[in-house]
Amino acid sequence: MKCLRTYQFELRGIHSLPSLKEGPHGHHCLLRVQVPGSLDEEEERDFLSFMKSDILKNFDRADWARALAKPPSGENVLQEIFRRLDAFRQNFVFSLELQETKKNLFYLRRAPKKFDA
Amino acid sequence: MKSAALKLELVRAVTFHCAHSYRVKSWSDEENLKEFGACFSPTGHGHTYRLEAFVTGPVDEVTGMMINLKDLDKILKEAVSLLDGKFLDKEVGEFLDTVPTTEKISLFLFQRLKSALSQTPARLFRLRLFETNDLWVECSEEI
Repeated sequence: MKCLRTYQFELRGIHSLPSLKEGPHGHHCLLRVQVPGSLDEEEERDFLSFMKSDILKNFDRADWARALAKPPSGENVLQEIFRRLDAFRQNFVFSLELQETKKNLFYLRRAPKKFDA
Repeated sequence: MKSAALKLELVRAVTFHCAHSYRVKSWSDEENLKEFGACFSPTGHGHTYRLEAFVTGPVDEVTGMMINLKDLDKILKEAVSLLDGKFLDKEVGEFLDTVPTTEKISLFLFQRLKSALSQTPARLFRLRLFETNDLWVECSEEI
């Protein structure tokens, strides 16, 4: 049985999607990060420190386009956050969830190799 | 990023309202009452259902999206419009002879959404249908 721990953060970001002819607008999102439940205190401190200094710094109260080379869609924001977390510590994050609105959310999770998102 | 080991999912929710009652026509009233209790009633009862559609697919390099939410919303709206505002076992052909349980409604919607989304880059692989906050059905298909 796999034991996982979920941390939740708030991301208040701004983005604009030219392909939708949408001007700059904001979202108050919830980001849920699922990591191994076996995290010890030092690992948790490092993780939270990284979240603050990198993820929250670049994606909370921020223009998401500045942190991305691709269009700042929910899909790309989530993939970029995953890339950064994987660079921080490989294979550490099991899944990410970005709840953009009450009726709109994105998941990114490890899956069998047959999936290729 | 090792994309082959990752699965990106988009979930979109929509709500709709309908009425239903549970009744197996070939059973006696006593048998129906015994099986379905308060759900066996000629007046029926209503629910506000919340449908959550889980889709996956490639992310378009230009738009940054798996599917335009306007297109997804249109597909979801069309699917639930078959049920929205209806008395299911009196007005919807699919449920005239089928007990309109949450299980059956979710399968009905899954097939229609899967078919409609096959015309788009996104694929439906899971659906959650909430009848109430503490009762829902999830149906999924590995893709």
